[in-house]
Amino acid sequence: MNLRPRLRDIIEDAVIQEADMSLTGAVLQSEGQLEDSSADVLIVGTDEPHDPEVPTRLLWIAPRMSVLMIAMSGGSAVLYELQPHKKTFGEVTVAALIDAIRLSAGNRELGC
Amino acid sequence: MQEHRPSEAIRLLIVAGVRLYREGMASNLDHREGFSVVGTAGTHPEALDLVGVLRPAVVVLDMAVDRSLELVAAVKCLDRAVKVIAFAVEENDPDIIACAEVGVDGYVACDGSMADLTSTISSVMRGELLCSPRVAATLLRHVGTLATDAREPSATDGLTSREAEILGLIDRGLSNKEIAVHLHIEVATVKNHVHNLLEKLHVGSRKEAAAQLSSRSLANRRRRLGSLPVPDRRP
Repeated sequence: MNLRPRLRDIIEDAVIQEADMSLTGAVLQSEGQLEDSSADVLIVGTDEPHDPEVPTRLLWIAPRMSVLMIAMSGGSAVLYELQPHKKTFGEVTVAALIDAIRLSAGNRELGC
Repeated sequence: MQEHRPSEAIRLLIVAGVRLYREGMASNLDHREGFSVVGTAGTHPEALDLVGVLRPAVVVLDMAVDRSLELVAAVKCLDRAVKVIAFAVEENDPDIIACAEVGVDGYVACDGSMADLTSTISSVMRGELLCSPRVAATLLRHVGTLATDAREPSATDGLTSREAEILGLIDRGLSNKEIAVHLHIEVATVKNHVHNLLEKLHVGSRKEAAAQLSSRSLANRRRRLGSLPVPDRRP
């Protein structure tokens, strides 16, 4: 998505040389197409790879995908993905349950 | 540098400050038939060293590299036969003209693809220029402006080089005595030169001579600037 031709060519060229990778598509006309896409990783060109707004929206639509945001300058890239988070407690106590609830709420506030 | 024969792979040096572009372009071009990437460089000095050592036929230069125009001039100074292709050129008049003036042989715009780059390299090796109509129009307009400037009579036409020099000093407000000191000549000699140049310019005073020089210089300058439209730097 939104990649300049030179950057798109370079990425396509690199991906097709890898035996365990394949391109499922080069350009998405709309974000709605994401729901039907079989891609595992979505590569997006952007001026602000650290801005979470676009990847958050894309992950909301396709949560099992990873979103690789690449700066148009080619100088930096950021990978966004949702991952299951697991925390094991020892003996269950009321205090441990409260801690678990607090931790969960805290993570949501932080956007984790 | 030897002349390129079509059966030989074109030897390329890739110069880009960003590693992803440098390595990506090198890999992409090296896999294409007819091209051979002999080296890559990320900085101005590194590129210049490699041009001297590797003797590429073409330098593909990402214009985002620091002091890229200076690098083109330095490469041309080192070996005029080396072709330089500017990649990611902003398609506005000042940038295109700046590239042309330092000796760039081919252009690929910011939104150009790798296929555009390979076509440009091939055309440059045939001695042709493959470019957008916008770039072509800018270059033609600039050539026209330069030709007009060359035809335009100058305020110093008909003057000897010494008289022209003295006219320039008069224009800067120097007196005959100051001019004599500046040029290490006698005041009487300066007076002779001033007398001659006033006659040749058909003016009666130093002030008029200086005004004539200023007005013609200004007209030339205005015309040159007027030929350049305001650059559009919108994304």
